Amino acid sequence: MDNMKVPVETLTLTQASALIRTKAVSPVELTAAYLERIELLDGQVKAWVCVVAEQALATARRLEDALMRGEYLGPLHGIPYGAKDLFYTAGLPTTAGSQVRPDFVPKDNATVIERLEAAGAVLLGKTTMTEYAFRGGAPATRNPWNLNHTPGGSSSGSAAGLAASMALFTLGTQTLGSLLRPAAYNGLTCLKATYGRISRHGVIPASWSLDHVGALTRTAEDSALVLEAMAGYDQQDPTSLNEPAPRYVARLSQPLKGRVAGVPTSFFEPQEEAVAQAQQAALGVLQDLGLQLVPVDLPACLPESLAAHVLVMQAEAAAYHQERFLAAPGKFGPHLRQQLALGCLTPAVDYLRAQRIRHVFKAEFMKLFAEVDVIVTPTTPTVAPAGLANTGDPAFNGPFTNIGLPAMTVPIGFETKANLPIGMQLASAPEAEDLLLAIGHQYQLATDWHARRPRLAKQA
Amino acid sequence: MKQSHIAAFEKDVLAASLYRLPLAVDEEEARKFVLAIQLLRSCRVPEEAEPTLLKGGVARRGQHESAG
Repeated sequence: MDNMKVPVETLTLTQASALIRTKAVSPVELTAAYLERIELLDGQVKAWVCVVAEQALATARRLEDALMRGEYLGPLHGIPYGAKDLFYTAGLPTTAGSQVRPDFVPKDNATVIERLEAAGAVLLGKTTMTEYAFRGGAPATRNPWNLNHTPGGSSSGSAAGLAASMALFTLGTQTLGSLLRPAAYNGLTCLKATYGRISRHGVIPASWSLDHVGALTRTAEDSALVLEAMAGYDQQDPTSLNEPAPRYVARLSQPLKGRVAGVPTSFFEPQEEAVAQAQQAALGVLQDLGLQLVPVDLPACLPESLAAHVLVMQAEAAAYHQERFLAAPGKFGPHLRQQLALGCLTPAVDYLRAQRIRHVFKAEFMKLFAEVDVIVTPTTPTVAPAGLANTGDPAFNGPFTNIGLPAMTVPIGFETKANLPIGMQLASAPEAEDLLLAIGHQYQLATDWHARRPRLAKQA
Repeated sequence: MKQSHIAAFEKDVLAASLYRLPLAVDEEEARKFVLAIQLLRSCRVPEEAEPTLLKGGVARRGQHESAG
């Protein structure tokens, strides 16, 4: 193998995969380069709860031997990644950002960890998150684009670590806006697939009926590669979609001419001029790609659906944490204590009413897809807020999470004073992830926002 | 929101005593919670709308669309 320097700062997963496949870079060289990058920069960014350097290098050596024997596992062969610290990882502590069970070490891997291992990906370690993926208990993680700002949450470390080029992709989860919001705040691309598309088995829940697993990546093409490895039926997840996942990469170049993008007439109004301007420019690029833009009115029951979302989250979280919460409430942070207490107070009939209202909202929302192929909005109302305690507003992501629709964010510009990225959100009907990825991919062929990198001074 | 409203709410659901809740709920959070429940209760829900996540079993094409 060549002993070339690995360009970790600029490399995408797709590019790295080609280097591995052609043996220009070895899995060990690639893994070592990212471990070195973490060593140099994580003192500033604080994206990792733990880094398993020896384990990662041992895995990389095994994959390198396999490659030399001609056993190529596919595009994720030898690709280093990080996982939010709520994915079960056999033999590694899994804290979910909490002090409740600091010594919990799962015996088994989450299904997605197993699938990524089978695909040849190399786990570098676990990334930081807010307490049990709720909005309180933010970690000390910083936004690499501006260290005085939050990277968002709850998948804080997964977003910041990837933005700082400490891995080639990272795993996160979204119950409200915990994938797309931090991805947008950090200039990343992220697809949250249809509810049930990716197994939740072995993932510590925030709220069973709302939780989605997803990957943060540099590009839509990278997202397609990781989704192909993770998606598909899992009998251990009772909400898993029982059908094979499509070949997403092969559909990235599907024609977009004639596709219709709905632009909501209410609710998704940016709160900052820079976000509004970037969104307007991005809509122009979509038109250049052949999409037709039309205004759409959102279902009238949107306010009730938002209330239902919060109520379901509280009640399901309370049900999951009930025994430990009632036994030792002081181990939970103040924000989560409030949410769990309210969850315990929720009458069963109101929980069920909330679930029924989600169903009604989805039925109403689905009518929009008779007229449009996708909905386009800003990913967040503002760029990443200053400070680390407030991880930002997930309001624009919630409606799609609530009803399990696929949604994606791509970088579309910057707020130049604070040097912070801005994202555009695209959502579609269930199982139309391939269309979102194609739009994201073709948008990224026409723009270079996704290719920008934060400048971090390396520590001695 | 007045304390008496929270007390009335707790009495209404009998939950505080049932769970022997270990802490008081912040007034602002309680206010938002009560307003959310009031909003949900004011929303007309068609008779045929089910809490579909409790259908059980493996979601298949068609079924999953109601799976939240």
